[in-house]
Amino acid sequence: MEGLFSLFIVFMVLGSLAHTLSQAATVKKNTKNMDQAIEEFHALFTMRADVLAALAISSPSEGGTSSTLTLSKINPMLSYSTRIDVLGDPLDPFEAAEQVTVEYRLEDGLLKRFQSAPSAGTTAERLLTCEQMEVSLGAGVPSILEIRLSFDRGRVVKQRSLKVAVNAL
Amino acid sequence: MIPLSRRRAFLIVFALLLTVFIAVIALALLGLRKGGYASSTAVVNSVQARSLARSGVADIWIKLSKDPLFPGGAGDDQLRFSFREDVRDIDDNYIGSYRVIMDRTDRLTHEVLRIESTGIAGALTDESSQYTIYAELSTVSGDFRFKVWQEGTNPRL
Repeated sequence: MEGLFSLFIVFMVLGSLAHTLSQAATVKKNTKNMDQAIEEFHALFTMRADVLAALAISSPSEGGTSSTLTLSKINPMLSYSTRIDVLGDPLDPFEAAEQVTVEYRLEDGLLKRFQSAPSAGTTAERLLTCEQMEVSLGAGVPSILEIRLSFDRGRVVKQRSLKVAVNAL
Repeated sequence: MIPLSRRRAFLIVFALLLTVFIAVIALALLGLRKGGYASSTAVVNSVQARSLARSGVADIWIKLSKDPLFPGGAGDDQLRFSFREDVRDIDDNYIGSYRVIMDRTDRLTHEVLRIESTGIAGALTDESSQYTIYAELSTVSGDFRFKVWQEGTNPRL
């Protein structure tokens, strides 16, 4: 009787442990997938923030498709008070001398962000591994800019896309 | 030779010891993952706060596109104006809020409104994450649009 009771306890504990570990493995897998997805969303959100700040988009051209995204925006390192400084600086807070050029393109399987400022040279940021990037821009203003990214995740290729309303070309 | 009653007692003690041992291992394994779960939750909250901050900018953009003199009733001497809106889902569960600050200092001189929106995920008593977007809105006739948009900044206004 005691032997049966002991076996019951042992199997009950082992069963609970197996269940707990399988649930933990599932959560770990889901967490990994979620972390990957958030990394992809972060890259897309970064691109969207740049597109929303764009004063002009040079690639892709209007109504066209391109593998790069190039735009110009106000240099985020310059504060507003600096940009409207009356001493030796025109009052326009959005003048060309205060702009930077931002370019997104694939290089060595990585999505990279390049930022060029007239006085500070070019800086590069590696965002994430990416197989393919395609950017298309509708004709006219306002328009829609669509970004499509493809990611190789082992047995599957995932695609993420994002549409941004554009008010400047 | 060991009596049968003592061997039975040994089995029960062994089973209980094994139970405790395995339970300790299971708890330790779960404890190891605690940090991973917490960081994932924090990232989700951050994304939610970012979306709330975007809602705040969209809200002020719509208000200003409908009424260029928004907020009505505030005198020209009042250069800064702020408001806060709660956000709920379709089941009326509280998601968070956004706080918008508008600076009208250069509205007439440069035709620019400086806007800052902070998204706050979670309830007031349990704020889990904040995210701030800074924007400059051009109010030039025919060119009503954001010309500066910076996400994830420190509060400036």
